[in-house]
Amino acid sequence: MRIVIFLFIIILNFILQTTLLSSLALNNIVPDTSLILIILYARLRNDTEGFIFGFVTGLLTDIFFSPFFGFYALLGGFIGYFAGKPFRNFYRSNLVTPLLLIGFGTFIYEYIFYFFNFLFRGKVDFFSYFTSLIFPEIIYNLIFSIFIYKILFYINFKIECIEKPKRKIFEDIETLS
Amino acid sequence: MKKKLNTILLFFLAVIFIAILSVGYRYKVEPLHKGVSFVIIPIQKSITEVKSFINTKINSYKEDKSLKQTIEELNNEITELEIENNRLKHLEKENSRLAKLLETADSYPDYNKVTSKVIAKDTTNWYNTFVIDKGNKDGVYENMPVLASGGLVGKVIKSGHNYSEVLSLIDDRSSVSGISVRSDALGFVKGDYKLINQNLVKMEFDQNANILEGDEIVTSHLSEIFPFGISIGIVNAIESSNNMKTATIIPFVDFSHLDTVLVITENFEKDLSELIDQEN
Repeated sequence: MRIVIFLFIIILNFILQTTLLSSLALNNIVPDTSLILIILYARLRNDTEGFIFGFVTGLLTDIFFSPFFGFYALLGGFIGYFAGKPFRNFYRSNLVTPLLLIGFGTFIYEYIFYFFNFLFRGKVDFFSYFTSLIFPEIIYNLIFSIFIYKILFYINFKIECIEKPKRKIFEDIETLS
Repeated sequence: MKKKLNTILLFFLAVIFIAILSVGYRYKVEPLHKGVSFVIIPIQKSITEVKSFINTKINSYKEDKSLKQTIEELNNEITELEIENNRLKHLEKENSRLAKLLETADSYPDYNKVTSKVIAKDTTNWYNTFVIDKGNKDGVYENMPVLASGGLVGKVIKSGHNYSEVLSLIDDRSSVSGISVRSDALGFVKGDYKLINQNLVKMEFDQNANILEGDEIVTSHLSEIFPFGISIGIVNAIESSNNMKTATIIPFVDFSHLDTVLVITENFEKDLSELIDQEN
């Protein structure tokens, strides 16, 4: 159930991202919705599931676009795993930690991309790439992630209600009381 | 215990990753590519079609007003072109007559072309590649030149059964050997991320190269992939540093509104190192 629904979301996201999202470009910068989904999913569940989610999302990107096969899958898995690690005892409905991690995660993701695909080819001017690409994308991602988080939280909540939850939904509250 | 299991699992996944990376670097994972592309390509195609349909509707509404003026202008242009065309026909006849004399009649053959639609764009902001809806089954393979109405768009870098990925001229990884039509100055046309926003590419010349603003650049005979003489763009500005000249070039193709491209389904790959060996 969960697997089917989230596989569907991954594919739907990929299709929309490659076809329609380019019309939302501001100064040639588009938000990376797959990266947002990976981080938010890892926030909602845990590091292992975030890892798998990131890997599958990256694999789909790898099939169509790639510097070489496996790069996006590895990067997506890495981001998903480390986005699921920190701040485990915060409310999940709170937007602060996901937004913090989106901002930080986008920076790490783009930095790794820059490192392997641009720095290795001798393009050392990181600062200009930061101001022209990475920083605007972080802002754009943050704005987008607010809406995506609401939708994803709702879907995840419904699924957790259906499947008998291993992780209790309100465990945060129980530990507090 | 569970934590230990997780670490072991992660370790195994890391090993699998490295295996995937190294296998994927060499071979294409054919069933995976095929299966996924059969599902996704048709959907992307239809969504893009709907999108372009809406776009054309909006545009046609805008354009209605200025249509009359355009018709008049076009009529004038047609008469001009007809005169030009007659002159060129005359020249062509003369040319073929002379070419027969020189026995080089087939130096400019008609290429086989396939028209295809741009259906998807790259997901990152760093690069500028796109997916077209023609693949191996239509005879499109890697390293084939891709053109649009104005000139060179780029080359095919990956081809599946029913799709292929095109690296465009303005992509940061792209590098094409070009030549100035006026002065035969050779140089490399390179995409640069910093010029992507303005739809420009840069070109690197020798320090003493004879190059002026307004020169037309075409693909050179030294290119390993492209045939000679495909137009690329026009020189916009020139900058000289101590050991090279760098020119920015306005490509003939508008990359931000690309929806139909032509793929030349012939392979022009040649090994230039062999030629050099022969000469020595």
